Amino acid sequence: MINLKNLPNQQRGEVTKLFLRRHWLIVAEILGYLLTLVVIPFISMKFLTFAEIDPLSDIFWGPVTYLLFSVYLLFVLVIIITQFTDYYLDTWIVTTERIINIEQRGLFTRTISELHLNQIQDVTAERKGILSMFLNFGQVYIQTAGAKERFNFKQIHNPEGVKQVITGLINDDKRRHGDASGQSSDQNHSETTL
Amino acid sequence: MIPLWYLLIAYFALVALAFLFLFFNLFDISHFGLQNGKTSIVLAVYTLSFLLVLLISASLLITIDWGESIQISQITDIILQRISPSSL
Repeated sequence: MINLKNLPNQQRGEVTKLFLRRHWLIVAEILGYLLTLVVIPFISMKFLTFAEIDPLSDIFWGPVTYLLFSVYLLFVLVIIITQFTDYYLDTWIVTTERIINIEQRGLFTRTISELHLNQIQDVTAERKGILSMFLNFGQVYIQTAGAKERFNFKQIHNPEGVKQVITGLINDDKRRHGDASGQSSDQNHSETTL
Repeated sequence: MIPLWYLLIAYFALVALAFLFLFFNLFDISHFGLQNGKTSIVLAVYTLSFLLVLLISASLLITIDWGESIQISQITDIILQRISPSSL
C-alpha cells in the first residue's frame, strides 16, 4: 500500500504536497455504464413480452434465462469493478522533491515513473471542451529537457491550480538545491507486469 | 433426456472465473491502494456487491427444480411455437 508519509526512497524532509486522481467524472461515467448494462436485460424481457414470447415459463429456457441473467450480472460487476480499479490506482504524487506517476493499465500492468523537480523544464496545463470548462478538469503536462516522454496528468481536477503548485515547488527546489537544468535527465522508469 | 442440473456446471465454472477476477481486483487494491479508510471502503464495496449479485442469482435459481430432465426436442419447442404454432 502507498503511505504518503513514508514513500519509497523518501528523502529527509520530503513532504507530499499533492495526491491526485482523475476527475470524479470518470466515476460517474463508470456508474453510467453500470446503469446502462443492468437495464439491458429488463428491456430485452420487455421486448420478448411485447412479442408474446415468455421464456420463463418454458421448462428449459426458463432456467437458462435465469442462469444467463445471473452470469451477465456477475460479469457486468466484474467489468465495472475492474474499470474502477484502473481509475483508483491511477495516481500522481507531487512532493517537495519529486513527482511520482503511477499508471495502472488493466489488472496486470502497472507503470511507476519518478521525476525529480530539478529536471523539469516545462509545466503546461490544458483544458479542452465545454465540459472541462464547466467542471474544471483537464491535463497537466510535465516536460524534462531531452526526454522523449513527458508526464501527463490525465483528466485531473483544477489543472491550473496543480500547475501553479508544481511551478512553486520547482522554484523552491531551485532555491534549495540550485538549478540543475542542462544536466542529463535521470528519469527513473519501471514497468511492472504481473 | 438431459438433467437440468447439467446447466449448473457451466454456471458454477463462470462464477469461479468471476470470483478469480474479483480476487485480482481485491489484490490490486489492497496491495497498491493508498493506505487510508477509502481503500477499506472500496474493498468492502467490492466484496459486498459481489455477494449481493450472488444472492440475487441464488434467489432466482432456487425457484427452479434442477432435478427435472428434458428432452432435446423440448429445447426447440418454444421457437417452433412462434414460427409455426400449428406444427406443435
